[in-house]
Amino acid sequence: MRMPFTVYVLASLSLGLVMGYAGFSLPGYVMHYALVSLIFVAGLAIGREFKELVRQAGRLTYLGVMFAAANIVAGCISGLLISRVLGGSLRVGSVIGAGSGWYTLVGPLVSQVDPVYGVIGFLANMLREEIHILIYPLLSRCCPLEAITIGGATTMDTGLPVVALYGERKHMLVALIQGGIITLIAPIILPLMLGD
Amino acid sequence: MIDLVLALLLGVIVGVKTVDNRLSGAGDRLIGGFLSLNTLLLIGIVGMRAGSILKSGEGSLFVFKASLLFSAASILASFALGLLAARFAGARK
Repeated sequence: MRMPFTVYVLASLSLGLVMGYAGFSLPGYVMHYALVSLIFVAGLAIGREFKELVRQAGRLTYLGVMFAAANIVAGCISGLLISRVLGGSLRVGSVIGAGSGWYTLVGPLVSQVDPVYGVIGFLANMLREEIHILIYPLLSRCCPLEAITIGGATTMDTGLPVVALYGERKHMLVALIQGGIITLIAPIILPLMLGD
Repeated sequence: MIDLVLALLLGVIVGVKTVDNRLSGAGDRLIGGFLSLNTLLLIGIVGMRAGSILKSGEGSLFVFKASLLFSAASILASFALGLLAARFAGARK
């Protein structure tokens, strides 16, 4: 019952790839309204579990903050490591890693310094989002809470539905807090790291 | 950004107000179905963007290899630190 959704995800991604390659594109507002309706439904799901969530709010907030910090630190370290391997700029590498899946921020930001690494930053973070959506259903069987970290900033919007579908409702709150904190601090710390 | 916050707040309010409704079970199924459809739509759109990047020729082999490396490394590192953070926070014994 659970595996078929991953198949649908792959099919949707493949169809999108083919359509994009063939020159099809959708106006930007389609994605925006899809996100708004997604957040509304996520709020609806949270509202239905509100009493239980309020009871656990302190602990879940603490976890969300810890996960957000883990994401930024892990992203910086891994980015430094990979840029060392590739022989690129360490600053740029750490920014790509610390982007935590926010490809629309990292791509344009890094492109100002290095256009090629800008594309790498965009693709790496976009892949991270896709991989989160693909593997969360599998990892949720053993560690639904810890697997939230893979989504990074995307767990506030596009990465949230899989957490809602395969995790528990309380995990949604952790995902929202993690994504929310990264979304709030990434636009401040990434340009600083880049030396902008 | 403000419309996302408003959508979330509105959703929470509607959810709290309708939780004891006798149609609650149908509501849960509706929410699940909508989340699935919305996820597939968003993935399709992101795929479309990736497809257009591929077509534009910016996607050379080095770019894709480097993207994969950055992505895999950040995922593994985040997951590892996430496991540690959860243990530290007492979420997992």
